[in-house]
Amino acid sequence: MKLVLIVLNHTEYLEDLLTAFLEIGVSGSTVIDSVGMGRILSHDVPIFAGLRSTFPGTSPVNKTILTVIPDELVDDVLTVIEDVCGTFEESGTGLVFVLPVDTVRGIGTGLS
Amino acid sequence: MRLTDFLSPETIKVPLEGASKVEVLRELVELTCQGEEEQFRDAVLKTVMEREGLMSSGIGQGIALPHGFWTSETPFAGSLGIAAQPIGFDSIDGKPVEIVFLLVCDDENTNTKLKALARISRLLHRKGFRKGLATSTSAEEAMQVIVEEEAQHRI
Repeated sequence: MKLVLIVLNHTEYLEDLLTAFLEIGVSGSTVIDSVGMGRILSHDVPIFAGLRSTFPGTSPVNKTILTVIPDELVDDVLTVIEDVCGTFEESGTGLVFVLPVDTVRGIGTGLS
Repeated sequence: MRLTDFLSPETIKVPLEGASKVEVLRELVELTCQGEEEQFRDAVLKTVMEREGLMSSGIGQGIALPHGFWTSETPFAGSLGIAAQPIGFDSIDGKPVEIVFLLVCDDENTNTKLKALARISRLLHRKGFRKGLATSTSAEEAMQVIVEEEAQHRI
């Protein structure tokens, strides 16, 4: 099993991304409202105020999506993420990473 | 799942002849259930209408995705109709529909139907795809629009 974690700055892609997940057999994920470091520093820490250009692509909020999936779905998940959201190469787009998961409790059998 | 896995010019009708929601749904059920007897088609239409009774499948922007059940050797099937004139469908945005996808499956394959609904709804978010379908003048042309759209997606 793998944990895929996506930090999505362009939140307008969220609906399409979750729909695409459903389409390829990802039956569940958790979506968390989140905020990036750049946003907090440049807006909330006085000494960094005025340095907003230091944090390119800083968005007011982003979404963090977590999903635990079987190994064989990883390639499909990464493909649809790029198809929907782009390659994440541009600064400020967000972040995607995949981690191994040793043990899972609490997820169903999912879509087959 | 790709739309081309279950759609072909034989399961696409352009334009639809019906002028009301029920007429259009019956038309698409007949297209989906080609070769089946009237009793079978009526049973499928009944399941589609029961689903519509819960909430209209008109999802807005001129699109409806009605779906129902059958008991058939074919576990899952679908059809597409493009209306010549927009049809009242009790859609969530209150607007009439032009693009209607009908999906039918047996009890064991609701996941397949769900995946198909997800794919259709995701592709139809693209304005160019909606426009391409809505302005199609034949089943072959609508099929070509689908083929071209899906060629832009790796999955």
